[in-house]
Amino acid sequence: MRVLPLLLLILLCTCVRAQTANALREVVTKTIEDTYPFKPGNELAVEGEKAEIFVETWDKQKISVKVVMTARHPRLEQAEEDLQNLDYISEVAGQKIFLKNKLRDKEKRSGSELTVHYYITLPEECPVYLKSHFGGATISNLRNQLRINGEYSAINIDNVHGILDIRSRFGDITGERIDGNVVINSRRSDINLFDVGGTFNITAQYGELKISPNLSLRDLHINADKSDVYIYEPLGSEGLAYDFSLNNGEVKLPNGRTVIELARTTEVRRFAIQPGNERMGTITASVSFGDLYLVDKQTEKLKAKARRF
Amino acid sequence: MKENNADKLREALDRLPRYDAPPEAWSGIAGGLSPTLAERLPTHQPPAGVWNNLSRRLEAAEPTAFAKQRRLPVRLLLGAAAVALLLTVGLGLLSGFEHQQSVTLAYSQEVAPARSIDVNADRDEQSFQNAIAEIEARNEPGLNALRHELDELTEAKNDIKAMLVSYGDDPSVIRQLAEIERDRSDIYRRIIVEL
Repeated sequence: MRVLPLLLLILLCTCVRAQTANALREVVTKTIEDTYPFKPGNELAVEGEKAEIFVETWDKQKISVKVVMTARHPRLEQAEEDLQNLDYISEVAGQKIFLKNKLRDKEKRSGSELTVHYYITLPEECPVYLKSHFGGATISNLRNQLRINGEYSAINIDNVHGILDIRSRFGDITGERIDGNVVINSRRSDINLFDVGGTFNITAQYGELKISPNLSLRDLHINADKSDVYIYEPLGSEGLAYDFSLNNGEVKLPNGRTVIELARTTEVRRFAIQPGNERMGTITASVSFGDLYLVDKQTEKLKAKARRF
Repeated sequence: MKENNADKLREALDRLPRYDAPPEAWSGIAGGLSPTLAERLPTHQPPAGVWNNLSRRLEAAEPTAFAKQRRLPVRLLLGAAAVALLLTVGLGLLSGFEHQQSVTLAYSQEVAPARSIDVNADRDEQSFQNAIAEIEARNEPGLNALRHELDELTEAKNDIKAMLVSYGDDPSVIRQLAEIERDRSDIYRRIIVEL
Protein backbone atom coordinates (compact mmCIF):
# COMPACT_ATOMS: atom_id res chain seq x y z
CA MET A 1 0.00 0.00 0.00
CA ARG A 2 2.86 2.35 0.74
CA VAL A 3 4.24 1.71 -2.72
CA LEU A 4 1.12 3.10 -4.41
CA PRO A 5 1.45 6.72 -3.20
CA LEU A 6 5.14 6.61 -4.06
CA LEU A 7 4.34 5.42 -7.57
CA LEU A 8 1.74 8.15 -7.92
CA LEU A 9 4.26 10.75 -6.80
CA ILE A 10 6.85 9.52 -9.32
CA LEU A 11 4.23 9.57 -12.08
CA LEU A 12 3.23 13.12 -11.15
CA CYS A 13 6.83 14.32 -11.23
CA THR A 14 7.31 12.72 -14.64
CA CYS A 15 4.24 14.50 -16.00
CA VAL A 16 5.39 17.82 -14.58
CA ARG A 17 8.87 17.30 -16.06
CA ALA A 18 7.36 16.47 -19.45
CA GLN A 19 5.22 19.61 -19.27
CA THR A 20 8.27 21.74 -18.43
CA ALA A 21 10.35 20.19 -21.23
CA ASN A 22 7.68 20.89 -23.87
CA ALA A 23 7.33 24.57 -22.79
CA LEU A 24 10.70 25.58 -24.30
CA ARG A 25 11.01 26.76 -27.89
CA GLU A 26 13.96 27.63 -30.12
CA VAL A 27 14.46 31.25 -31.15
CA VAL A 28 16.52 32.04 -34.26
CA THR A 29 17.25 35.71 -34.84
CA LYS A 30 18.74 37.32 -37.93
CA THR A 31 19.91 40.90 -37.43
CA ILE A 32 20.75 43.14 -40.36
CA GLU A 33 22.42 46.47 -39.67
CA ASP A 34 22.89 49.25 -42.20
CA THR A 35 24.01 52.84 -42.13
CA TYR A 36 23.36 55.41 -44.84
CA PRO A 37 24.82 58.91 -45.08
CA PHE A 38 22.14 61.59 -44.90
CA LYS A 39 22.11 64.62 -47.17
CA PRO A 40 19.35 67.27 -47.39
CA GLY A 41 16.79 66.00 -49.87
CA ASN A 42 17.05 62.38 -48.75
CA GLU A 43 13.85 60.56 -47.82
CA LEU A 44 13.33 57.25 -46.08
CA ALA A 45 10.52 54.91 -47.17
CA VAL A 46 9.79 51.73 -45.21
CA GLU A 47 7.30 49.09 -46.25
CA GLY A 48 6.78 46.67 -43.41
CA GLU A 49 4.73 43.50 -43.40
CA LYS A 50 4.03 42.01 -40.00
CA ALA A 51 6.64 44.40 -38.71
CA GLU A 52 7.02 46.67 -35.71
CA ILE A 53 8.70 49.86 -36.89
CA PHE A 54 10.42 52.18 -34.43
CA VAL A 55 11.69 55.55 -35.68
CA GLU A 56 13.73 57.88 -33.49
CA THR A 57 16.02 60.82 -34.17
CA TRP A 58 19.56 61.86 -33.41
CA ASP A 59 21.88 64.72 -34.29
CA LYS A 60 24.15 62.75 -36.65
CA GLN A 61 23.91 63.14 -40.42
CA LYS A 62 23.34 59.41 -40.87
CA ILE A 63 20.43 57.01 -41.07
CA SER A 64 20.93 53.90 -38.99
CA VAL A 65 18.77 50.88 -39.71
CA LYS A 66 18.63 47.68 -37.69
CA VAL A 67 16.25 44.96 -38.81
CA VAL A 68 15.66 42.01 -36.50
CA MET A 69 13.86 39.00 -37.99
CA THR A 70 12.93 36.23 -35.58
CA ALA A 71 11.50 32.74 -35.89
CA ARG A 72 10.19 30.83 -32.87
CA HIS A 73 9.42 27.12 -32.92
CA PRO A 74 10.00 24.13 -30.63
CA ARG A 75 12.21 22.56 -33.34
CA LEU A 76 15.35 24.41 -34.38
CA GLU A 77 15.28 23.06 -37.94
CA GLN A 78 11.74 24.35 -38.48
CA ALA A 79 12.63 27.76 -37.07
CA GLU A 80 15.66 28.03 -39.36
CA GLU A 81 13.65 26.93 -42.38
CA ASP A 82 10.86 29.42 -41.71
CA LEU A 83 13.34 32.22 -41.10
CA GLN A 84 14.81 31.58 -44.55
CA ASN A 85 11.43 32.50 -46.02
CA LEU A 86 11.71 36.06 -44.65
CA ASP A 87 13.33 38.46 -47.08
CA TYR A 88 14.67 41.96 -46.45
CA ILE A 89 15.26 44.35 -49.33
CA SER A 90 17.05 47.68 -49.19
CA GLU A 91 17.56 49.96 -52.15
CA VAL A 92 18.83 53.47 -52.73
CA ALA A 93 17.27 55.22 -55.72
CA GLY A 94 18.40 58.79 -56.14
CA GLN A 95 17.47 60.68 -53.01
CA LYS A 96 15.22 57.94 -51.64
CA ILE A 97 16.15 55.02 -49.42
CA PHE A 98 13.70 52.12 -49.64
CA LEU A 99 13.45 49.37 -47.05
CA LYS A 100 11.05 46.48 -47.29
CA ASN A 101 10.44 43.03 -45.89
CA LYS A 102 8.35 40.30 -47.43
CA LEU A 103 7.96 36.55 -47.68
CA ARG A 104 9.90 34.81 -50.41
CA ASP A 105 7.12 32.23 -50.80
CA LYS A 106 3.74 33.67 -49.84
CA GLU A 107 1.99 30.31 -50.18
CA LYS A 108 4.26 28.57 -47.67
CA ARG A 109 2.60 27.89 -44.34
CA SER A 110 4.80 28.92 -41.48
CA GLY A 111 5.10 26.55 -38.55
CA SER A 112 7.09 29.15 -36.61
CA GLU A 113 5.96 32.44 -35.15
CA LEU A 114 7.70 35.02 -37.35
CA THR A 115 8.28 38.62 -36.29
CA VAL A 116 10.15 41.53 -37.83
CA HIS A 117 11.35 44.64 -36.00
CA TYR A 118 12.81 47.79 -37.58
CA TYR A 119 14.87 50.12 -35.38
CA ILE A 120 15.59 53.30 -37.31
CA THR A 121 17.47 56.35 -36.09
CA LEU A 122 17.81 59.35 -38.36
CA PRO A 123 18.09 63.16 -38.39
CA GLU A 124 14.92 64.93 -37.33
CA GLU A 125 14.67 66.77 -40.66
CA CYS A 126 14.53 63.56 -42.71
CA PRO A 127 11.11 62.99 -44.33
CA VAL A 128 9.69 59.55 -43.57
CA TYR A 129 7.13 57.43 -45.38
CA LEU A 130 5.86 54.28 -43.68
CA LYS A 131 3.61 51.64 -45.11
CA SER A 132 2.64 49.04 -42.55
CA HIS A 133 0.56 45.93 -43.13
CA PHE A 134 0.03 44.21 -39.81
CA GLY A 135 2.35 45.22 -37.03
CA GLY A 136 2.84 48.70 -35.68
CA ALA A 137 4.69 51.97 -36.02
CA THR A 138 6.14 54.16 -33.28
CA ILE A 139 7.60 57.48 -34.38
CA SER A 140 9.08 60.22 -32.25
CA ASN A 141 10.80 63.59 -32.52
CA LEU A 142 10.54 64.16 -36.26
CA ARG A 143 10.52 67.72 -37.56
CA ASN A 144 9.68 67.56 -41.23
CA GLN A 145 7.27 65.36 -43.10
CA LEU A 146 5.69 62.11 -42.00
CA ARG A 147 3.38 59.97 -44.11
CA ILE A 148 1.90 56.75 -42.84
CA ASN A 149 -0.33 54.27 -44.60
CA GLY A 150 -1.32 51.58 -42.14
CA GLU A 151 -3.56 48.54 -42.21
CA TYR A 152 -4.11 46.44 -39.10
CA SER A 153 -1.24 48.38 -37.53
CA ALA A 154 -1.26 50.45 -34.35
CA ILE A 155 0.29 53.87 -34.90
CA ASN A 156 1.98 55.81 -32.11
CA ILE A 157 3.33 59.31 -32.69
CA ASP A 158 5.14 61.37 -30.09
CA ASN A 159 6.55 64.89 -30.42
CA VAL A 160 6.36 65.23 -34.18
CA HIS A 161 6.13 68.63 -35.84
CA GLY A 162 5.62 69.38 -39.49
CA ILE A 163 3.43 67.97 -42.22
CA LEU A 164 1.69 64.73 -41.30
CA ASP A 165 -0.51 62.56 -43.48
CA ILE A 166 -1.84 59.49 -41.74
CA ARG A 167 -4.13 56.86 -43.20
CA SER A 168 -5.19 53.93 -41.12
CA ARG A 169 -7.56 51.03 -41.45
CA PHE A 170 -8.14 48.68 -38.54
CA GLY A 171 -5.30 50.31 -36.66
CA ASP A 172 -5.66 52.69 -33.71
CA ILE A 173 -3.83 56.02 -33.83
CA THR A 174 -2.33 57.50 -30.68
CA GLY A 175 -0.57 60.85 -30.83
CA GLU A 176 0.95 63.18 -28.29
CA ARG A 177 2.62 66.60 -28.75
CA ILE A 178 1.89 66.84 -32.44
CA ASP A 179 2.01 70.24 -34.12
CA GLY A 180 1.80 71.31 -37.72
CA ASN A 181 -0.40 70.58 -40.67
CA VAL A 182 -2.01 67.20 -39.98
CA VAL A 183 -4.40 65.16 -42.11
CA ILE A 184 -5.83 61.91 -40.72
CA ASN A 185 -8.08 59.48 -42.56
CA SER A 186 -9.14 56.50 -40.54
CA ARG A 187 -11.59 53.65 -40.82
CA ARG A 188 -12.35 51.12 -38.09
CA SER A 189 -9.68 52.82 -35.99
CA ASP A 190 -9.79 54.69 -32.70
CA ILE A 191 -7.94 58.01 -32.53
CA ASN A 192 -6.45 59.44 -29.35
CA LEU A 193 -4.66 62.76 -29.69
CA PHE A 194 -3.30 64.58 -26.66
CA ASP A 195 -1.64 68.02 -26.46
CA VAL A 196 -1.94 68.73 -30.17
CA GLY A 197 -1.80 72.04 -31.99
CA GLY A 198 -1.65 73.54 -35.43
CA THR A 199 -4.11 72.57 -38.15
CA PHE A 200 -5.88 69.23 -38.10
CA ASN A 201 -8.23 67.69 -40.62
CA ILE A 202 -9.65 64.37 -39.42
CA THR A 203 -11.99 62.08 -41.32
CA ALA A 204 -13.03 59.03 -39.37
CA GLN A 205 -15.45 56.15 -39.78
CA TYR A 206 -16.40 53.47 -37.27
CA GLY A 207 -14.11 54.60 -34.52
CA GLU A 208 -13.87 56.54 -31.29
CA LEU A 209 -12.11 59.90 -31.38
CA LYS A 210 -10.66 61.56 -28.31
CA ILE A 211 -8.95 64.85 -29.05
CA SER A 212 -7.26 67.03 -26.45
CA PRO A 213 -5.90 70.15 -28.17
CA ASN A 214 -3.57 72.71 -26.64
CA LEU A 215 -3.71 76.47 -26.91
CA SER A 216 -1.68 76.55 -30.14
CA LEU A 217 -4.45 74.83 -32.05
CA ARG A 218 -5.49 77.00 -35.00
CA ASP A 219 -8.02 74.84 -36.78
CA LEU A 220 -9.49 71.43 -36.04
CA HIS A 221 -11.89 69.98 -38.56
CA ILE A 222 -13.54 66.65 -37.79
CA ASN A 223 -15.76 64.69 -40.10
CA ALA A 224 -16.92 61.58 -38.28
CA ASP A 225 -19.30 58.90 -39.46
CA LYS A 226 -20.60 56.23 -37.10
CA SER A 227 -18.05 57.43 -34.58
CA ASP A 228 -18.23 59.01 -31.14
CA VAL A 229 -16.19 62.19 -30.74
CA TYR A 230 -14.78 63.52 -27.48
CA ILE A 231 -13.17 66.98 -27.47
CA TYR A 232 -11.36 67.97 -24.30
CA GLU A 233 -11.10 71.73 -24.00
CA PRO A 234 -7.68 72.99 -22.92
CA LEU A 235 -7.39 75.23 -19.90
CA GLY A 236 -7.69 78.89 -20.89
CA SER A 237 -9.60 78.01 -24.07
CA GLU A 238 -12.02 80.90 -24.05
CA GLY A 239 -10.64 81.91 -27.45
CA LEU A 240 -11.83 78.75 -29.20
CA ALA A 241 -14.87 78.93 -31.47
CA TYR A 242 -16.98 75.83 -32.15
CA ASP A 243 -19.24 74.85 -35.01
CA PHE A 244 -20.96 71.50 -34.51
CA SER A 245 -23.25 69.62 -36.83
CA LEU A 246 -24.93 66.37 -35.81
CA ASN A 247 -26.91 63.92 -37.87
CA ASN A 248 -28.73 61.27 -35.84
CA GLY A 249 -26.56 61.77 -32.83
CA GLU A 250 -26.51 63.28 -29.37
CA VAL A 251 -24.34 66.13 -28.10
CA LYS A 252 -23.15 66.72 -24.54
CA LEU A 253 -21.80 70.16 -23.63
CA PRO A 254 -20.36 71.58 -20.40
CA ASN A 255 -22.84 73.33 -18.16
CA GLY A 256 -23.53 77.00 -18.71
CA ARG A 257 -22.27 77.14 -22.29
CA THR A 258 -24.09 79.64 -24.53
CA VAL A 259 -25.11 78.02 -27.78
CA ILE A 260 -26.28 79.65 -31.02
CA GLU A 261 -28.71 77.29 -32.78
CA LEU A 262 -28.20 77.28 -36.55
CA ALA A 263 -30.41 74.34 -37.56
CA ARG A 264 -32.63 71.93 -35.65
CA THR A 265 -34.78 69.06 -36.89
CA THR A 266 -35.54 65.61 -35.49
CA GLU A 267 -32.43 64.21 -37.16
CA VAL A 268 -30.12 67.17 -37.78
CA ARG A 269 -28.83 69.71 -35.35
CA ARG A 270 -26.29 72.44 -36.02
CA PHE A 271 -25.06 75.07 -33.60
CA ALA A 272 -22.13 77.32 -32.83
CA ILE A 273 -20.34 78.48 -29.69
CA GLN A 274 -18.66 81.85 -29.94
CA PRO A 275 -15.28 82.50 -28.28
CA GLY A 276 -15.30 84.45 -25.05
CA ASN A 277 -12.17 86.36 -25.97
CA GLU A 278 -10.40 87.18 -29.19
CA ARG A 279 -10.70 84.16 -31.47
CA MET A 280 -7.55 82.07 -31.37
CA GLY A 281 -8.80 78.86 -32.98
CA THR A 282 -11.75 77.12 -34.56
CA ILE A 283 -13.07 73.61 -33.98
CA THR A 284 -15.54 72.31 -36.55
CA ALA A 285 -17.09 68.89 -36.09
CA SER A 286 -19.61 67.12 -38.26
CA VAL A 287 -20.80 63.84 -36.74
CA SER A 288 -23.21 61.36 -38.32
CA PHE A 289 -24.71 58.42 -36.42
CA GLY A 290 -22.46 59.12 -33.49
CA ASP A 291 -22.35 61.27 -30.37
CA LEU A 292 -20.31 64.39 -29.66
CA TYR A 293 -18.97 65.26 -26.24
CA LEU A 294 -17.37 68.61 -25.43
CA VAL A 295 -15.57 68.11 -22.16
CA ASP A 296 -14.29 70.85 -19.92
CA LYS A 297 -10.85 69.59 -18.90
CA GLN A 298 -10.82 71.51 -15.62
CA THR A 299 -14.10 69.93 -14.58
CA GLU A 300 -12.82 66.50 -15.59
CA LYS A 301 -9.70 66.98 -13.46
CA LEU A 302 -11.83 67.91 -10.44
CA LYS A 303 -14.10 64.91 -11.02
CA ALA A 304 -11.07 62.64 -11.30
CA LYS A 305 -9.71 63.97 -7.99
CA ALA A 306 -13.08 63.47 -6.36
CA ARG A 307 -13.24 59.86 -7.61
CA ARG A 308 -9.79 59.11 -6.20
CA PHE A 309 -11.02 60.09 -2.75
CA MET B 1 33.52 40.32 -99.29
CA LYS B 2 35.59 37.56 -100.78
CA GLU B 3 37.64 38.60 -103.76
CA ASN B 4 37.28 36.25 -106.70
CA ASN B 5 40.43 34.98 -108.45
CA ALA B 6 42.74 36.85 -106.04
CA ASP B 7 45.52 34.32 -106.63
CA LYS B 8 45.30 34.78 -110.38
CA LEU B 9 45.60 38.56 -109.99
CA ARG B 10 48.67 38.09 -107.88
CA GLU B 11 50.25 35.81 -110.48
CA ALA B 12 49.50 38.32 -113.21
CA LEU B 13 51.09 41.13 -111.20
CA ASP B 14 54.16 39.00 -110.56
CA ARG B 15 54.51 38.35 -114.29
CA LEU B 16 54.65 42.08 -115.05
CA PRO B 17 58.16 43.23 -116.19
CA ARG B 18 60.35 45.14 -113.69
CA TYR B 19 62.18 48.32 -114.60
CA ASP B 20 64.91 50.17 -112.60
CA ALA B 21 65.10 53.98 -112.49
CA PRO B 22 67.91 55.54 -114.49
CA PRO B 23 71.01 56.48 -112.34
CA GLU B 24 70.67 60.21 -112.99
CA ALA B 25 67.17 60.22 -111.40
CA TRP B 26 68.46 59.61 -107.82
CA SER B 27 71.25 62.15 -108.11
CA GLY B 28 68.77 64.70 -109.36
CA ILE B 29 66.51 64.12 -106.30
CA ALA B 30 69.49 64.36 -103.90
CA GLY B 31 70.55 67.62 -105.47
CA GLY B 32 67.07 69.05 -104.93
CA LEU B 33 67.09 68.15 -101.20
CA SER B 34 70.19 70.18 -100.27
CA PRO B 35 70.59 72.94 -99.42
CA THR B 36 67.17 73.10 -97.61
CA LEU B 37 64.65 75.78 -98.36
CA ALA B 38 65.39 77.53 -95.07
CA GLU B 39 69.11 77.66 -95.95
CA ARG B 40 68.36 79.17 -99.30
CA LEU B 41 66.19 82.01 -97.93
CA PRO B 42 68.02 85.32 -97.21
CA THR B 43 68.50 86.38 -93.53
CA HIS B 44 68.17 89.91 -92.21
CA GLN B 45 69.46 91.30 -88.89
CA PRO B 46 67.14 93.67 -86.95
CA PRO B 47 68.44 97.11 -86.03
CA ALA B 48 70.19 97.47 -82.64
CA GLY B 49 67.37 99.57 -81.22
CA VAL B 50 64.93 96.63 -81.40
CA TRP B 51 67.12 94.48 -79.13
CA ASN B 52 67.61 97.38 -76.73
CA ASN B 53 63.83 97.91 -76.39
CA LEU B 54 63.23 94.23 -75.83
CA SER B 55 65.89 94.11 -73.10
CA ARG B 56 64.38 97.14 -71.33
CA ARG B 57 60.86 95.56 -71.39
CA LEU B 58 62.11 92.29 -70.04
CA GLU B 59 63.90 93.98 -67.19
CA ALA B 60 60.78 96.10 -66.27
CA ALA B 61 58.21 93.19 -66.13
CA GLU B 62 58.19 90.95 -62.97
CA PRO B 63 57.71 87.40 -64.09
CA THR B 64 55.14 85.50 -61.95
CA ALA B 65 55.32 81.83 -61.34
CA PHE B 66 52.16 81.40 -63.33
CA ALA B 67 53.53 83.46 -66.21
CA LYS B 68 56.71 81.41 -66.14
CA GLN B 69 54.69 78.21 -66.26
CA ARG B 70 52.12 79.17 -68.84
CA ARG B 71 52.67 76.04 -70.69
CA LEU B 72 52.89 72.96 -68.48
CA PRO B 73 54.70 69.96 -69.73
CA VAL B 74 52.43 67.25 -71.12
CA ARG B 75 53.84 64.66 -68.71
CA LEU B 76 52.92 66.78 -65.72
CA LEU B 77 49.36 67.23 -67.02
CA LEU B 78 48.95 63.53 -67.56
CA GLY B 79 50.25 62.81 -64.07
CA ALA B 80 47.78 65.29 -62.52
CA ALA B 81 44.91 63.72 -64.48
CA ALA B 82 45.90 60.26 -63.27
CA VAL B 83 45.98 61.41 -59.64
CA ALA B 84 42.58 63.11 -60.02
CA LEU B 85 41.13 59.95 -61.52
CA LEU B 86 42.49 57.81 -58.71
CA LEU B 87 41.09 60.20 -56.12
CA THR B 88 37.67 60.18 -57.77
CA VAL B 89 37.55 56.41 -57.93
CA GLY B 90 38.77 56.16 -54.37
CA LEU B 91 36.11 58.57 -53.09
CA GLY B 92 33.47 56.72 -55.04
CA LEU B 93 34.50 53.43 -53.50
CA LEU B 94 34.68 55.02 -50.09
CA SER B 95 31.13 56.36 -50.35
CA GLY B 96 30.09 52.85 -51.30
CA PHE B 97 31.81 51.50 -48.23
CA GLU B 98 29.86 53.99 -46.04
CA HIS B 99 26.77 51.86 -46.77
CA GLN B 100 27.90 48.70 -45.03
CA GLN B 101 25.46 45.99 -44.22
CA SER B 102 26.24 43.48 -41.52
CA VAL B 103 24.21 40.33 -40.97
CA THR B 104 24.35 38.23 -37.82
CA LEU B 105 22.51 35.12 -36.66
CA ALA B 106 21.75 34.32 -33.06
CA TYR B 107 20.25 31.28 -31.37
CA SER B 108 18.51 31.14 -28.05
CA GLN B 109 15.67 29.45 -26.22
CA GLU B 110 12.65 30.80 -24.42
CA VAL B 111 9.64 29.49 -22.59
CA ALA B 112 6.73 29.19 -24.98
CA PRO B 113 3.66 31.11 -23.83
CA ALA B 114 0.60 29.09 -22.92
CA ARG B 115 -1.86 29.14 -25.81
CA SER B 116 -5.21 29.62 -24.13
CA ILE B 117 -6.68 31.70 -26.96
CA ASP B 118 -8.64 29.49 -29.29
CA VAL B 119 -10.57 31.58 -31.78
CA ASN B 120 -12.79 29.27 -33.76
CA ALA B 121 -13.49 31.91 -36.38
CA ASP B 122 -15.60 29.68 -38.63
CA ARG B 123 -17.88 28.26 -35.99
CA ASP B 124 -20.97 30.35 -36.88
CA GLU B 125 -20.18 30.93 -40.52
CA GLN B 126 -23.27 29.10 -41.69
CA SER B 127 -25.46 31.48 -39.68
CA PHE B 128 -23.78 34.44 -41.37
CA GLN B 129 -24.34 32.90 -44.79
CA ASN B 130 -28.03 32.36 -44.00
CA ALA B 131 -28.38 36.01 -42.91
CA ILE B 132 -26.67 37.23 -46.10
CA ALA B 133 -28.99 35.11 -48.23
CA GLU B 134 -31.98 36.67 -46.45
CA ILE B 135 -30.60 40.17 -47.00
CA GLU B 136 -30.12 39.51 -50.70
CA ALA B 137 -33.69 38.23 -50.96
CA ARG B 138 -35.17 41.30 -49.28
CA ASN B 139 -32.89 43.92 -50.87
CA GLU B 140 -33.65 46.74 -48.39
CA PRO B 141 -31.32 49.76 -47.99
CA GLY B 142 -30.90 49.37 -44.22
CA LEU B 143 -30.11 45.67 -44.50
CA ASN B 144 -27.84 46.26 -47.50
CA ALA B 145 -25.85 48.80 -45.48
CA LEU B 146 -25.41 46.28 -42.67
CA ARG B 147 -24.39 43.65 -45.19
CA HIS B 148 -21.79 46.08 -46.58
CA GLU B 149 -20.32 46.48 -43.10
CA LEU B 150 -20.35 42.72 -42.60
CA ASP B 151 -18.54 42.16 -45.91
CA GLU B 152 -15.82 44.58 -44.89
CA LEU B 153 -15.29 42.77 -41.61
CA THR B 154 -15.35 39.39 -43.35
CA GLU B 155 -12.63 40.61 -45.69
CA ALA B 156 -10.61 41.79 -42.70
CA LYS B 157 -11.07 38.39 -41.05
CA ASN B 158 -9.74 36.67 -44.19
CA ASP B 159 -6.74 39.03 -44.27
CA ILE B 160 -5.94 38.17 -40.67
CA LYS B 161 -6.30 34.43 -41.24
CA ALA B 162 -3.94 34.67 -44.23
CA MET B 163 -1.42 36.50 -42.04
CA LEU B 164 -1.66 33.76 -39.39
CA VAL B 165 -0.92 31.14 -42.04
CA SER B 166 2.04 33.06 -43.48
CA TYR B 167 3.63 34.30 -40.27
CA GLY B 168 2.46 31.79 -37.69
CA ASP B 169 0.27 32.18 -34.61
CA ASP B 170 1.11 35.62 -33.22
CA PRO B 171 -0.93 36.42 -30.05
CA SER B 172 -1.43 40.05 -31.11
CA VAL B 173 -2.81 38.98 -34.49
CA ILE B 174 -5.04 36.40 -32.82
CA ARG B 175 -6.41 39.20 -30.60
CA GLN B 176 -7.12 41.26 -33.70
CA LEU B 177 -9.05 38.30 -35.12
CA ALA B 178 -11.05 38.04 -31.92
CA GLU B 179 -11.97 41.76 -32.11
CA ILE B 180 -13.07 41.38 -35.71
CA GLU B 181 -15.20 38.41 -34.76
CA ARG B 182 -16.83 40.45 -31.97
CA ASP B 183 -17.61 43.23 -34.43
CA ARG B 184 -19.06 40.72 -36.88
CA SER B 185 -21.21 39.27 -34.16
CA ASP B 186 -22.49 42.76 -33.29
CA ILE B 187 -23.48 43.37 -36.89
CA TYR B 188 -25.08 39.92 -37.08
CA ARG B 189 -27.21 40.77 -34.06
CA ARG B 190 -28.26 44.05 -35.66
CA ILE B 191 -29.15 42.21 -38.87
CA ILE B 192 -31.27 39.73 -36.95
CA VAL B 193 -33.08 42.61 -35.24
CA GLU B 194 -33.79 44.20 -38.63
CA LEU B 195 -34.95 40.90 -40.09
